[in-house]
Amino acid sequence: MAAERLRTLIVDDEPLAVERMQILCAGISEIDLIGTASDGEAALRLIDALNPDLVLLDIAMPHRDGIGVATALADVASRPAVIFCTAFEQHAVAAFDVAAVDYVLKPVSAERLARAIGRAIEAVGRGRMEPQVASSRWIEEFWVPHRSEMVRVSAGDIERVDAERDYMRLGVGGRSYLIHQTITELERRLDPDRFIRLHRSTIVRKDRIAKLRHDGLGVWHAELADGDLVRIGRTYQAAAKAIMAK
Amino acid sequence: MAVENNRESTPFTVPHRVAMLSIIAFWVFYYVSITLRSLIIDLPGFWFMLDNRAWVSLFGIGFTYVLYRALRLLCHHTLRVRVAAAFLFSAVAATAYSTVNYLSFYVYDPQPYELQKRAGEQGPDKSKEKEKEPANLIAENAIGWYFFFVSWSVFYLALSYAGAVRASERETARLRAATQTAELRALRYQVNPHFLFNTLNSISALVMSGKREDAEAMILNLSTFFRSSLASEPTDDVPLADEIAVQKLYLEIEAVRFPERLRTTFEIEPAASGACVPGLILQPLIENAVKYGVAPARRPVQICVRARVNGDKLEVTVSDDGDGARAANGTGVGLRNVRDRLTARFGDAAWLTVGKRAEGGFTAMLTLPLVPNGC
Repeated sequence: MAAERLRTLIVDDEPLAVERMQILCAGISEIDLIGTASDGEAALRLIDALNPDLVLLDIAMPHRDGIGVATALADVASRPAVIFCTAFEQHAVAAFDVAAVDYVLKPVSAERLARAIGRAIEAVGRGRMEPQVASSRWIEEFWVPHRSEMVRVSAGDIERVDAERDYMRLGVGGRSYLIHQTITELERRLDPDRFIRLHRSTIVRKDRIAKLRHDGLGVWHAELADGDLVRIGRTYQAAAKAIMAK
Repeated sequence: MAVENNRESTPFTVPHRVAMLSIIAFWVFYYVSITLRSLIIDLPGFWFMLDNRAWVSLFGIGFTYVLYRALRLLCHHTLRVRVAAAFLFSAVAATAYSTVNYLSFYVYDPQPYELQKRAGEQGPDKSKEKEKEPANLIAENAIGWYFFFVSWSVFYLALSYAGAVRASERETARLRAATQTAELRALRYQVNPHFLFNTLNSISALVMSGKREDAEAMILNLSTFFRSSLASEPTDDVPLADEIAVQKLYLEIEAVRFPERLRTTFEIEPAASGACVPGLILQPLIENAVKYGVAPARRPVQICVRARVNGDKLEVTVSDDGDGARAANGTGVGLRNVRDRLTARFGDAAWLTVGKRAEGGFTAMLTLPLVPNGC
C-alpha cells in the first residue's frame, strides 16, 4: 500500500484554491489526483464513488462544511485520510473531534504540504484509517495554533488547562497553547480518569498533583509537581480530596 | 491652590476659596443672628457686646480655619475617618474658642458682663448662680459651641464629598468617551482574517498558474482596500462615493474568490453620493452578504447596494438574494458594530433595520441624517 501513490481528492469551494492545490499536488510524486469537489455533499458522493486514500478538505464550504464531511466519514469503512486545509484556525476546536492526519493553513507552502502528505502516507501504511467508531468519548488529541502552523498535541501530554476569557491555555511540557473553547466543554471531553477540575478556571492532570494543602478557613490549594499552587474551588474540593485518598 | 491640579488632586477636597467663604458665612450668620437676638430680648450692654463679639468672632474664624486645615490634612482618608476626626477636632476648636470667649467677656473686658450680672441680680433665682469656676464656665460654653463647630465640619465634609462625586462622574464620563473611541478604533481596524488569508491564497494561485496581470490587479485591490481601512481616524466621516468605492474594491476581490457565484449591482443616486457617512460603515453589511449570502450558495447570488435621499435622510440598502440562514433580528457582531457606530455618531437620529426579504435573501437598511458636504 505504502509504495503506491495516494489517490487524492481535493475539496474546496473556491476555484482558485482548487487550482492552487492542483498545481502543488502536481509537484508531489506520491499524489495521484482523482477529482475535485466544490461543496460538502459533492465531496461525500465522490468519496463514496471513488474511494480515495486521501482527501484535502477545506472547512468553510456550502452544503455541509469540512468538519461535517469528516464527521460523516468517521463511521465509513476504509475511510480516507483527511488533511484539513483552512484559511484561519478558528475551526481548530471542532477539528480535534474528527481524527485528521494533519491540519494546514492556507496559503500552504509546498514544503508544508509535502510534510502533511508524508504523514498521510504513514497513516495509510499503518492502516490507521479503520472506522473510528468514536473510539472513545474522550478527546485523544488537539490541533492547536502555534506560530503560523497547527500542531498536534496529545491529550495525555497536557499538564494543565487555564481559562483566559474566551480562550483556554493548554500547558504542555513548559509550553502553552491557546485554543478557543469553554472550560466546561473541555472538561466534558477530557478523560476524567486522567484529569480533574480544581477551580472554575483550572483543570489539571491528576498525576501532576503532588499534594493538597489546607490553608485554614476551608481554603485548599493543590501543589503541583512543578511547585505551582492552584487554589481549589469550594465545589471541587470533595472530588480533589477523593482522588488523593486513593 | 487646589485649582490648578484639580485632576489628580485628592478625592476629597473643596476649593480653598469655597472653604473660606463657608467659614466666613457661618460666622457672619452667627454674628447677625446673635445680634438680632440681643436686640429683640433687649439685653443690657448691647453696644459693648457688639464690639466684643466681633473680636471674638474673628478668633472663631481663626479657629475654624485651623479646623479646616486639620480636616484637609486627612483628605486621603475614608469618609468614616474624616467624620470621626471632624467630631474630635470640633471638640478641640470649641474648647479653644470657649476659652477665648471667657477671657474676652470675663477677664479682659468684663464691663458688659458686669452690666448683665447686675441686671441678672434683680431676678430672684440667678443670685447664686454666678461665681462659678472659670473651668466650669469654659466647659459649659464649649458644649454649646461644640455643635457650632460640628455643624461647620459636617457642612465642609458634605461639600468635599459632593466634589468627589462630581469629580468621579467627570472621570467616568471621560473614560466612557475614551472607551468608545477605542472601541470605534477596534471596529475600524478589524480585519477579517478569513478574507485576508483566502485572498492571499487566491493571489498565490494566480501567481502559480502564471496569471501575472490578475495577480497584480488583486494585490493592488487588496492594498488599496487595506490602506483605506487603516489610514484615517476611525471616527472620520467620508463621502458616500468614497465609501462605495472601497466596498467595490472589496467586492472585486471577493469576486475573484467566488467567480461563478458573486454578482453585484450599485444604484447610487447622484444626490446621495456626496453625503457624509462614517467610514467603512457599510463593510460589515457587505461582508455579511458575502459570508451568509454568497459563500454558502451553489448558484449565482446578487448583492445590491442602493443609496437615495429621502427628505432630510440618507437611506443606504445592502441586500442579497441568497438563501443563507441568518438571524432575522440581526443580532450578529457585525450588525451590532454598525449600530454602535451609528449611535456614537448620530445618537437616535440614525438606525439600522434588517430582515429577510419576501422574495428570498436578506436586506439591511441604514437610515442616517443627510449631511450634504464637508467631509
